[in-house]
Formats: sequence, C-alpha cells, structure tokens
Amino acid sequence: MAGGWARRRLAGGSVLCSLVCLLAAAHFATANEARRDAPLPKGKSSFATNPMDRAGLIGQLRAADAQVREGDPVEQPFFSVTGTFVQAGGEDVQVFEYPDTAAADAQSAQVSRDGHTIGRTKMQWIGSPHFYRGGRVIVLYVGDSRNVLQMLEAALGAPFAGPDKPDKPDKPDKQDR
Amino acid sequence: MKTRTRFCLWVVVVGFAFPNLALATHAWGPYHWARTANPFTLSLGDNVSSAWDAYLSEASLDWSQSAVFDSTIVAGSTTPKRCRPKSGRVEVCNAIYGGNGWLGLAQIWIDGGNHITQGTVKLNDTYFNTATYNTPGWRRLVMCQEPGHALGLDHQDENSTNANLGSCMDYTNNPLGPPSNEHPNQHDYEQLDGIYAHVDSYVTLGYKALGAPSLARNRAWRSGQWGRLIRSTHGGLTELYEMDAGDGRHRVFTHVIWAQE
Repeated sequence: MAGGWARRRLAGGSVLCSLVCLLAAAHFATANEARRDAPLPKGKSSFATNPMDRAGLIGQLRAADAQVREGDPVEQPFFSVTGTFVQAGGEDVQVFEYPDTAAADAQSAQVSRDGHTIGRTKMQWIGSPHFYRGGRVIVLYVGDSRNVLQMLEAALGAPFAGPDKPDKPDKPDKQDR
Repeated sequence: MKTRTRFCLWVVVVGFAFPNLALATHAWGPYHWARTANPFTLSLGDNVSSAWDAYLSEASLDWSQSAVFDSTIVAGSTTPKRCRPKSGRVEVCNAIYGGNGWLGLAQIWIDGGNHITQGTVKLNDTYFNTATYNTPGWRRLVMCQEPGHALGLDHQDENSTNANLGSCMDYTNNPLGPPSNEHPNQHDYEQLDGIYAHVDSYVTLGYKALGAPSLARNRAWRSGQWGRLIRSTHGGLTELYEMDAGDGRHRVFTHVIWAQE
C-alpha cells in the first residue's frame, strides 16, 4: 500500500518535472526569437548582412571624433594581414581587416585573454594591449587613454582580450611575498 | 578534531615555508626543445648590432647558469629586419620594426609533439632609440626575457605596476627595481629544470647535446680559476673569462680555445 503511494507520487513528480522543462524550453525559444528580432545595439553592424569592415569602423569612430584619420600600414608578425594605423582620440590604434568574418574569428582565437600571447608569439608590450573584434576587423590598441577605450568600446563592444582579462588567476601583490 | 588541527597547521607551515608557491609554474604550455640528453646547448644566432652585442652576451651567460643547458652565440643567419628562423636555433635580431606597440617579441615554431624546432627574438629599436627605453636596464630586461620565452618559459607575472620579483620574466615599469628584473632568478632556473627534467627520443636542436663531462668542464672553469665566463663563441669552442686581479683595480682576461672532443 505504502509502495503504491510512493510510486504514484514519483510518477506525479515526473510529470511535473516534464511540464516545467517544457515551459522553460518554450520560454527560451520565445526569448531567443525576440532577441533575434530586436534592433542591434547602437553602433554595431549586423554581421549577418553587413559585417563591420575598416571603412565602417572608421565611419563610426569619426562620428565620435571628427579628427579620426587613416595612417600608415602596420605589419605584425603574429597577424596574417597587414593592418592600418588609425588615429583616434589622439592615439594610434591598429586596424586589421580580414577577407571574411571566419578569417577574423580564426585569427582572434589565437589571442590569449590577457593579450600577451598570440599563437606561438609572446610580446613585451610598451603599454596595456586591448583587442577588439567586429565583423571582419580586429583592432589593437596599446595604451590606456580612457577616451580611446570608450570610443572603441562604443563602436565594437568590450575588448575580447586585454589587461582586465588575465590568463592567470590574480596573484597577491608581490610586495606581500 | 585533532586530525583537522594537524592538517591546518600543515597548510600554514607550507604557506610560510614556500611563500612563492603561487609562482609554482611559469612554463609556456608544453613547449620545449627535444633532445636525447641533458645538458644541451642552444645556439643563439647573432643578428644584432654592436649596441646590443654586450647584452646578448650577458643574456647568454645568464641563461647558461641553468643546470640543464648552455647557450652559445653563433653567427647570425638572417637579416635583422626579416629575422627569418633557422631550424634548431634561435635567431636574435634588432631593427626598427615600427611603432607597433611591442618592445620585444619571441616566436617559436613547434613540431607535432610540442617540441620547439626554431625560434626568433626581435628587439624593436623604434622604442629602444627613445630616451625612455634606451637604458641598460630596459635593454637587459628585454634581451633576457625574449630568449627565455624561446626556451619555453612564460612570464612569472604580467602586472607592470607591482613590486619586482627580481626576474627578467616579470613585467615591470622599472627594470632596475630593486630588486632588478634584468636577469633570470632562481625560480626561472628551477622552472627550466622542471621543463627539461625528461629526455626525448629525438632532437630538434641544431647543436649536439653536450655530454656530462662537458657540463662539468663548463661549470668547473666558470666558477674556478679563470673567474667569470663573459663570452662564448663558435659553439662554445672559444671562451673568454674575466677575473679580478685581487687589487681591486685590474682584471685578468683569459681567452680559451677548446680542443674538439
């Protein structure tokens, strides 16, 4: 008798669990649909139809700073394409444009979270490296100008690699050791 | 309860006894040079200008203090600007590489087994020609750090603003410290000992591994009667030693040409 009650209760629990799962799945599906239909955040391109390229990025940066201009080419031994210096906010940022987003994806996947290693290359930077991604471009800014960082973040979102994304866990201040 | 107390005490004791435990490893992934015996010799191709020669010699000597290998300076095989790698060695180059953001850079190439097959070190004179970086401290730090990467070492610490660890594998805004970050420290040597504790079934070095007698020879002479080894060329066949004459004013230089073994 007691065993039958327990089995019925378990069966009831299973049904309830299934119902909850179904409701959750329906909720996520609706939410994702809504997210796809929602307008993109300001300053960002729709990568599916018009992936960000160098010209598009420069256009966006110029909207914030009329003095933005393209400069000389820049070669980095760890990137497969030649980049372009772009002066923004009074500082040089390096813009690397790839043939397609897949190539930019593959290249950015080589960059360590802290930005100190790219593939099998290690750099001693003269300042903090900040790496941004958008469509077909990778942007590298070495420095700490708040103005430049804000301009880049407005155009491309948060950096995918840089000093605020350490590879290693935080260590205690060395003075304590 | 008693057991728990004893365990906690152990943890505290270990914490005090090894304050640098947080730095336990700074190997660059699994990468290392393949060799069939220790110690081995790594050749550094000299493609640097005269402004860098003394720093290259110093870095080579610094890293040779490791128990597992020696480095030796050989004639460069590339142009500094291109700095093309050559199998089995590390080419060291300096040039005006442009305002690309890096002072120095190390690249390694590996085979399918995570073994380093060749490497390059580039020192960017675009910055070293400026007043900020044209100092012995910065030159020593970068010239020491980049070959360290080519040996399979990572940075000990990547925060430039905290106190120095006394290692060139530590990021800093002040290479002189104190402590100075111009040379490797004991932790770097210990890390190399760990990386090269095993041997492989084949060799990716372009220079044959030295046998134990050669290591004994190097170590004995370096710390012995001729003083400090300050230069090694031609794959270690010629060496220059420096020793204080004892009067505090004169130094004795001994140039050694070794017979082929």
